Amino acid sequence: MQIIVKNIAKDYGKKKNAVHALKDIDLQVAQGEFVGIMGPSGAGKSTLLNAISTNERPDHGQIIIDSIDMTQQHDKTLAQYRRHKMGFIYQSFELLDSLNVKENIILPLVLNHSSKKVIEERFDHLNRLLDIGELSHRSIDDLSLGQRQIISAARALINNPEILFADEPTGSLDSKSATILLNYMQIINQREKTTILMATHDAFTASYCSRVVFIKDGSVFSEIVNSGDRNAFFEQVINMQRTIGGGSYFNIP
Amino acid sequence: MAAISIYLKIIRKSLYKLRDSYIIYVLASVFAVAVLTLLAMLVVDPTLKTSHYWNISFQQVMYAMVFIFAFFTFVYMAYVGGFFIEQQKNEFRTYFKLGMSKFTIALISFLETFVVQLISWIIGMLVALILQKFVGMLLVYLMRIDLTFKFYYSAKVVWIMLQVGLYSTLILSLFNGLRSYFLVRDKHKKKHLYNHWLVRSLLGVLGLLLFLTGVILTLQLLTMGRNYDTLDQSLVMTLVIAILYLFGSYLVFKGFLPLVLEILDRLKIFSYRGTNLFTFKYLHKRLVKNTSIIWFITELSALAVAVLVFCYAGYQVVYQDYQNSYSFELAANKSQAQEVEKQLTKQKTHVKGRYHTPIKRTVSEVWDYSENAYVPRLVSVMSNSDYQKLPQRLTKKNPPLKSGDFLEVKSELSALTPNYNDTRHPIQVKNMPKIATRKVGSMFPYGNRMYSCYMLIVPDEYYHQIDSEASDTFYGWDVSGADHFSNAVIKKLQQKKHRYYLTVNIGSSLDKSTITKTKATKLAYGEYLKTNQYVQMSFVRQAVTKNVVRQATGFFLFLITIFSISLLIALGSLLTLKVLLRDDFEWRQLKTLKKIGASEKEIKQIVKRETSLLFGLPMIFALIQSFLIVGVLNLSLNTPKVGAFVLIGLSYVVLYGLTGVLTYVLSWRGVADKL
Ligand SMILES: Nc1ncnc2c1ncn2[C@@H]1O[C@H](COP(=O)(O)OP(=O)(O)OP(=O)(O)O)[C@@H](O)[C@H]1O
Ligand SMILES: [Mg+2]
Repeated sequence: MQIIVKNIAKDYGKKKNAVHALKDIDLQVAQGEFVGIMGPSGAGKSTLLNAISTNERPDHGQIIIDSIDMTQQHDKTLAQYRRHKMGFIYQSFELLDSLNVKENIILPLVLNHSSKKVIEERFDHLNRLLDIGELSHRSIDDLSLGQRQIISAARALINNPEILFADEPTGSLDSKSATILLNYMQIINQREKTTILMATHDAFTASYCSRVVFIKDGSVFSEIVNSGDRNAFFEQVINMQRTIGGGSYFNIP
Repeated sequence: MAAISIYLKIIRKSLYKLRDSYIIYVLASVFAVAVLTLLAMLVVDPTLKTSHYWNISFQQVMYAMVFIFAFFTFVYMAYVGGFFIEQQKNEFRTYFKLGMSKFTIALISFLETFVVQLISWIIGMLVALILQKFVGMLLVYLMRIDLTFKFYYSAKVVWIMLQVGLYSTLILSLFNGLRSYFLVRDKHKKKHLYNHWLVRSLLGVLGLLLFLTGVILTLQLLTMGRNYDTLDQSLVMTLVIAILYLFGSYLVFKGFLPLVLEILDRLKIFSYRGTNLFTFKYLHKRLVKNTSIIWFITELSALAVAVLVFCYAGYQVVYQDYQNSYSFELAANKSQAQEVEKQLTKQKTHVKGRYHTPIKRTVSEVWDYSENAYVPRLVSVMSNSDYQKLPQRLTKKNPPLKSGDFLEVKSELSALTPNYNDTRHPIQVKNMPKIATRKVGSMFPYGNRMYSCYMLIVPDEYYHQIDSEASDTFYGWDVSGADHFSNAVIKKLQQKKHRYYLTVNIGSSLDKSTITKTKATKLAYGEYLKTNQYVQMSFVRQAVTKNVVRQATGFFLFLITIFSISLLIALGSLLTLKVLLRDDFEWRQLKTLKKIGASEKEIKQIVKRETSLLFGLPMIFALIQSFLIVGVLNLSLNTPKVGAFVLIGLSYVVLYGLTGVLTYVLSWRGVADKL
């Protein structure tokens, strides 16, 4: 899926104390790209992801996915589109407390009226991959933050989305879990040509991307492309973070 | 200063945030205050007071009603007002954590409540002033009084109501202030709703069984004939059914419905479909959280519907009964017949018809059901051919008679007792053959006030053989329009000196019992007529009785209707608020669902189901339960009065249906706004 973002802007709040969360952002993402979005807190990363994923409408500008201008579509069409083609890992997880782990994960498939067989198959598959089997009947309330994050990732991946939006998908994960999840994302990106947009503060996480876009104060600041060498790319990201300010200081040598 | 402006800002914000719910609450409160004010004004209303129709006892009942109504209004406001504090619980706790003192938080909720209460009270009183004339006219209409009701407002009542309003506002605000004061301190404990689910489910199934037993018994009550054997039994049965319903519905709400939702949830065919996976659990939680209140609402609305049906049916019965039994205007006995005739000529009254019938009186023995024995009683006897000569109008409610038939006429009041139609026990008239087969009616020719005890219509031969111990002749006049009698004339005609006593002297056997006729004496204070002592009226003007009955029934109908409708409105608003006021947890769930990709339509459907559940349950259960009244009416009035039930039930469904739809619209608006 090709994504073209043209000139979008988004303000929050009323005139006097308005926050310009996004200011005239342009961005192009090719089919099958794995794009990272980085920037200091409050830079507008989440806002940008929400806008592209059509969860929120920009004030102006265009978002063209697969040559369809999303800003011109009805809410209903957008909801359908999101449900069938997109997956989200939210920064705040957005799990339903009244449902247990398994039910939370399969919810997107159930909403789409998938057959029971497909549901069980997909669930088992993710189960094996992300190693969440023993959690499946637990209640959300009892889970640790990291466990919640992996569950919300599993939910985003269960309906084989064509575009995956990941907002800080590894923020609460230990390095082993983070590596498993990132590897999985890389695999679906390479094998199934899933387009991935991922916001992160973490240079290690970002090093999985094929390209990283840096934004600051709602505008694109710069971008760097992964030449293939993960370590070199990691260094580049760290350097850029230092230039821009903010981000994860743990990674500063 | 800065602090105060922050408090005001907080209050303004919470009023705005909860505006839909507050509007419902204010509307219901306005209604209650308006009714209260109206009742209070009717108590002192000069138009009513100066009218000779308006009885002092009506005024006293109305006065008592004001207090009862005030009490319920206060309970409603205190209870429902607490919802809003509960709703802001988390906010208050946050303020507390941020360092706001408990006192300040209490002050904030005090002021918030104060504003809302004061608004309700003032608007309610204004509405009362606007509706005053209309409600007065309704009362006058229901009582069928010929009176032009004038607009009137009593400064005194307004002043008293204002004071009451101010005090109750202060007290309720204080209540809410204290509520939030203690609320911030409480640690929020997570309740384990699913504890003992097995016990709960078993109780639920038991509840369903109880409830269904109640339904079956009710149906049986309908098919049960009214007779003496089943009286006690059916009374007990009604009570048993009421108890079965009460407990049954509670257990159904508490255990059975959650069980159904749980099973639906476990069955993947149902739950793995669209939003069901979420909805069943969501509804389950909402139901469990609100069980008690839903049950409470259900039982009270069932009661309100039943009372309304009972009043309506009772009104119909009593009114029709009197309409029929008093188709006569004037009746007199021998002693006053000439005087009445003289007065009619004098007043130039247009008389449409004149009738008179000889009456024999003797002693008889009838079966007393309460004592299970024969008791001697006075009986008035009319011959069949004389009876047949009377105009149809006077006898039409009695069963048709052939010349050889006997007819026993008993009063309308005893028509309400279960063994009214029971003729298993023969009547024994002194020195005469036993009367075993006879028909039973309730319409006394010449009106029942002319008779004491009961009367018999007997075949002519039988009549001629009776030894009358006190004969008389009854006269009747059918006048068109009014009789134009002045009060003085009526008083004169009714003078005690024209009346006489009939006393049954009970002998060792029926044959030895006799009747003596004596002049009516003035009863000394504290002296009453003895059991077998009767007064024979000399003159009866039926219109008076008719009016008293009309007025009394109309008056009570007015009060009970107002009360039941207020109750229904209060309960309806309670339900609406219960739907509208979701807690933070419920909000978060809906929000998350939206983020995961549930479409607007799906969320709308959830809101719809939620509203239907919270409204549908009480409605269905209240209707089923209030159907019991049809059984009760069947027993007491001998007619099931299904029509009255359908009418009232339908109005109830329409009222609550509309409230439900309104609630749904508001609820969805709130959700769409917030998501
Ligand atoms: N719903 C909202 N209402 C008002 N302002 C908002 C809202 N959401 C975001 N903002 C503001 O928009 C700006 C960008 O927020 P955003 O969440 O996109 O930042 P971010 O880059 O994701 O930060 P973080 O790294 O902390 O997640 C911030 O200043 C934030 O305060
Ligand atoms: Mg963010």
